[in-house]
Order: sequence, then C-alpha cells, then structure tokens
Amino acid sequence: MTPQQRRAWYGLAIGIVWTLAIVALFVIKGATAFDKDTGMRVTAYALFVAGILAYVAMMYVTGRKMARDGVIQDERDRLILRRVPVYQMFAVILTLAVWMVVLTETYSEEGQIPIVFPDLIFFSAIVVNIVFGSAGTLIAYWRAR
Amino acid sequence: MGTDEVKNRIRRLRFEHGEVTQEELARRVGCTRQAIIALEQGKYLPSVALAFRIARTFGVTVEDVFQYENDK
Repeated sequence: MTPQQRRAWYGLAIGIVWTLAIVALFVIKGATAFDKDTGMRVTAYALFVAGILAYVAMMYVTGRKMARDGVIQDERDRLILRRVPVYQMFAVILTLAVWMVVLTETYSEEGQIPIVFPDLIFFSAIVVNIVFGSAGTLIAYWRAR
Repeated sequence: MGTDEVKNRIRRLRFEHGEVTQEELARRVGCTRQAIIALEQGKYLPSVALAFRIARTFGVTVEDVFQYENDK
C-alpha cells in the first residue's frame, strides 16, 4: 500500500463517519424540522464545517508526516491520481441527477420544493466530492494493479 | 502497426548487482517501491527519464534494461 492509498483510507473513514453523522441528524430530527428548528440548523451547519475541518486536518497531518519520512509522489502516482477528478465529477453529477429526479417526481404537483433541499443538495455535493476524492484514489490504485 | 510490448530485465539486473532490493533501487532512482514492483511485473511503462535513471544505476544502456517488441 502506497502512502497515498493510506491517506485515502483515512479520508474515506472520515467521509463515512461524517456522512453517517449528517444522515443520522436528519433521520432523528426529520428533514422538515430543518425549516423551523434553529438548533437543528446550527447542528447541521456545525457538522458540515466540522467534517471539512477534520478532512483538512487529516490531509495536513499526513502530508507533514509524508514529508518528514521522505515519502515521494513519483510519476506512477501522478499518473494514477490524474484519474481521481473523473471519479469525483461522475459521483457529484450522479448525486445531482438523483436529487433532480427525486425532487421533481415528489414535488411536481406543488410546483416548489421545501427550503431544506437547497441546503441538502449543497451538503451532499460537497460531501460526495470529498468522499470520492478518497474513494476515487483507492479505485484508481486498484485499477492500476 | 502490430502490438507493442516492452519487456524489461530489472529483476535480473537487481540479482546481478548483488540482490539490490526493490526499496533500494526505488530510493536510488527516485520513485516508490510500488512503481518498481509494477515495472517488474510489466504493468507500468516508465518515462524516458526514469528509464535512463534505472539504466545508469546499473551501469548499462536503456536497451539493456528495456526491450521493445512488436509482433508485426
């Protein structure tokens, strides 16, 4: 396992815990409570920011450790990592497509969507983008075996 | 055009130079051990610069390390 793969596993673990925490909040409180419950909104935004900070901290700490240990990113790593943005873009576009279809089918008669959904769409796009930064790295290395 | 294939003698050259480890070779040529493994297994083609660094490490020419084959 290369240092890049190890880093991707850490990122994936953070991403999964982060996703589960956000999903659990909306399942426990109910998505519609988001409009009326200020406490829930603050918790959701705090979770969102905390996940990003945890991910950035992990990248910083592992990056410093790799530099200290003299770990290099060679030409093969760079070639493999060039594929990662493709996986990220595909995952984000798929996520947005699912939101579009589900919301259109669910709220077509009302002609409008509850205010919570723009937030959820934004949260999910960022979370999926970050999670697939790590998952995409693991997939790219797996395909290069 | 035919099918291109590039084989290499890195494993043999490591053996002939006193069982240089993959880790040591990687350190000398400035790549990861995983890249040396992939090269030896024929799953990765190096850049021209890396091919030269590997050849010079063993004191041979690039063509002594890498052999181009075309079935045409």
